[in-house]
Amino acid sequence: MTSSGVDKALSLVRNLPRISFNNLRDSVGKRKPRERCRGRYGGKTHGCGQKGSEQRQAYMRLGHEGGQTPFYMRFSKEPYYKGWHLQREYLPISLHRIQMLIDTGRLNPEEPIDVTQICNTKLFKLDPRKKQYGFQITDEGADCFDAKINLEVQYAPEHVIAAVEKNGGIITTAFYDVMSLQAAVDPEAFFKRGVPIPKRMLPPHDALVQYSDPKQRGYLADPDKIAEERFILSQKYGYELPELSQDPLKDMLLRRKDPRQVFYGLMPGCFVSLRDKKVFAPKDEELKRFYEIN
Amino acid sequence: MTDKIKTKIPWNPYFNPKLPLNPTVGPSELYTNVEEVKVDWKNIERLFPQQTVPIPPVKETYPSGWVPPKGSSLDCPYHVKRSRNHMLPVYFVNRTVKTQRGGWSYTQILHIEGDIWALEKDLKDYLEEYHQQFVPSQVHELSRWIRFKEDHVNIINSWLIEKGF
Repeated sequence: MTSSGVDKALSLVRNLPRISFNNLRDSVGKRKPRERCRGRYGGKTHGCGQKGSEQRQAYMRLGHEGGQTPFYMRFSKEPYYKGWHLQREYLPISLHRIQMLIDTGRLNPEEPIDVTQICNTKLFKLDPRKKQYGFQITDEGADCFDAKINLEVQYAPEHVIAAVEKNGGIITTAFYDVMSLQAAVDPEAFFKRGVPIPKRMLPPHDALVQYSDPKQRGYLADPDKIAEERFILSQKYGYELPELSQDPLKDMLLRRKDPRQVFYGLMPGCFVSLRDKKVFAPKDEELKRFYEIN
Repeated sequence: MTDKIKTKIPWNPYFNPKLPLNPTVGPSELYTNVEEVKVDWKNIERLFPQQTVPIPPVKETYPSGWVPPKGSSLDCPYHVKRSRNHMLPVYFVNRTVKTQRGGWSYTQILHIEGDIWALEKDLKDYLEEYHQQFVPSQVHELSRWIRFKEDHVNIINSWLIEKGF
């Protein structure tokens, strides 16, 4: 039971040409020309009123109440935003989501999965300028997780580490400072800037503890202690640690970035020329020492 | 009256080939020379994203619970197309409205082809039987979507998978 109005609308859609910029225009009165202060009605005070601080362009600051204690100064300060500019944000991704991406072919489990690979799926918006320092993995979907991956993220709780290691994978938590993260999130745009690959900075003092902790699989922790913790976790959650030495993907799983490296296969201080498909390194000794290129 | 076409000279070196891209500041002695590093270009190509969404690989089971579209029966008068990321186009929208009326939430099904009213009838009957309650719905023929009040995402997803969409 359709009304004639709907019929008319549908017939319009069928018969009218495709909407384009050359057959659209603003409604009448939408854009008015600016009215200049000239003539009998625009002149004399020109919209500035009579005498006073306004006409003399000596405006009072916003919030000023003529000397009375203004509203914004009547109450005591509260530390709601103390340290807000120093806080780091890690975007959450669930284990279920990672499994879904591997199943649908968006993430390749035969290559190490790091920030660059996760951002390359184009399903996550990571903006380093908004104090977003990377990704954290949440434990939703830990029971059904069934992929053997080499995962490098910025934070993962114990349950998630257990789920990944149970399947024979390896998880590492690594820190990226803002400059390195901007390069890692969009490598193509970074290479086009013609700037040398930055040296990844060490974490700030409040994060140093976390990234040196073998329990959190920090990238600065002692590898022997990490091996110990892997065994302890398997005992805690009641699974058998799979043998890595027998694995055909052993080389890929044990692959790790240097703490100063941003990209796999590229050292800091290098330039990448996308047009020539070549990589260049500086010759100067001082620069080599700075970038720790051997 | 002829209109003069004003051509702006781009000041940005990216758009103006006459300007140097990274202009040198200071004497050239302070700039280092560079040497080529032999690198497997495939490792660097891995850093770049794919230009299109890949087709999901065929597997026996998918641990995440993702189900590929099987193909519905030929009798079916409607079809629900998958999104560009190969997911079912069923979304729960929770709108908070800052008035006394409070918010409203609905489940939306997009990308409907064919007889949209038949799909709405089938889904509505299924949901009303499931909840034993009236379920308000909205059909938009032009944009090809259906909305049902409140959250029925999982129920509708399983129904669509059964149908083979």
